Amino acid sequence: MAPKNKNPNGENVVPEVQQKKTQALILKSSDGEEFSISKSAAGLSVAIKNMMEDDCAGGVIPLPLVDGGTLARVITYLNKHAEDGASDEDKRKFDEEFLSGMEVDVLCDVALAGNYLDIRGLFHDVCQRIVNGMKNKSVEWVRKTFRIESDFTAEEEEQIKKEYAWAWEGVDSDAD
Amino acid sequence: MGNSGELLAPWPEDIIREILHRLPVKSLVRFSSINNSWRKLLLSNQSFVYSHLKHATNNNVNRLTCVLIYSDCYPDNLPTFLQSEDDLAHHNLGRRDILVKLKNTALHTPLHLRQDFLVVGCCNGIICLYRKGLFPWNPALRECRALPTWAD
Repeated sequence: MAPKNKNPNGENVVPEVQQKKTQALILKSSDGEEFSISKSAAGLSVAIKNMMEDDCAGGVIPLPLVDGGTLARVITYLNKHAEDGASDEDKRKFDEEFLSGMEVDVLCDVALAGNYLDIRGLFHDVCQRIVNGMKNKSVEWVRKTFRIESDFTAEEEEQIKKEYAWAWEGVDSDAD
Repeated sequence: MGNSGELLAPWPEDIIREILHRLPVKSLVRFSSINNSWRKLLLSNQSFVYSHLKHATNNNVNRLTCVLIYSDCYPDNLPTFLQSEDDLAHHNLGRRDILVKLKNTALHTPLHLRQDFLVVGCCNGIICLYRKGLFPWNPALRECRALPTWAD
């Protein structure tokens, strides 16, 4: 078996893992902000990993669907998850704090970016966070938050409410 | 949402879909009064109902298809969880041995069902009960219907 740090010609090479750690690439947001990120962190996004493999690695990777503020948040997440020596428990605690301060519209932007960049863990965690915040909310809260207009008459709405009265038990106050 | 043909919200569909699949049935029933698109999707779109169930059974550790049955013939009248035919075999019970006293279960049951029923079987969260006729019962939606008998 060939030694790990020699190429087939017997020349010394930097091991691939180390190369990935040290190399950086630039991600460019929709509003033109540029962020430097290590390849190991960026590779946690399946979409960026594919772009790197398609030889975009030399230059800047444009991400036209992610704005700068959201990209900064995503990069913070990726850096933590690529950190050497970060245990699963560390990451779990980080995720909890990372998401707990976000309003629902910010969560949605991050979920969209997580979906687009194919970072499954982030996407699922953010969606679950939105669900936890939403499941006990009123119909009015959901309409307001998701900017949805009702097309029911007051009578129709009252009829549904009457038919399934139990589904309205234990709803949070909108002020929460 | 692909199957409804109408926009549910001015939000990306992937996210709305992911969120709706994760919400409990109680929330979905309440949110069916948001507007007509939500109502159609949440209460009458079969493929949504199927994918919600699939998502719930794949991802929820509590296994929503699990049913709590209080049985007279089970030792000490302890409530027991039944999920499949295998569970019946495990408890050394035949289907017809199981007498369900719904009034003693923690499940919400329609008032007219608060009497003894035989469990014919269960599938996808729907329990089929028998008492002088067949009654498919959906505990999550708290709905129970009588199937027409041969005589009808």
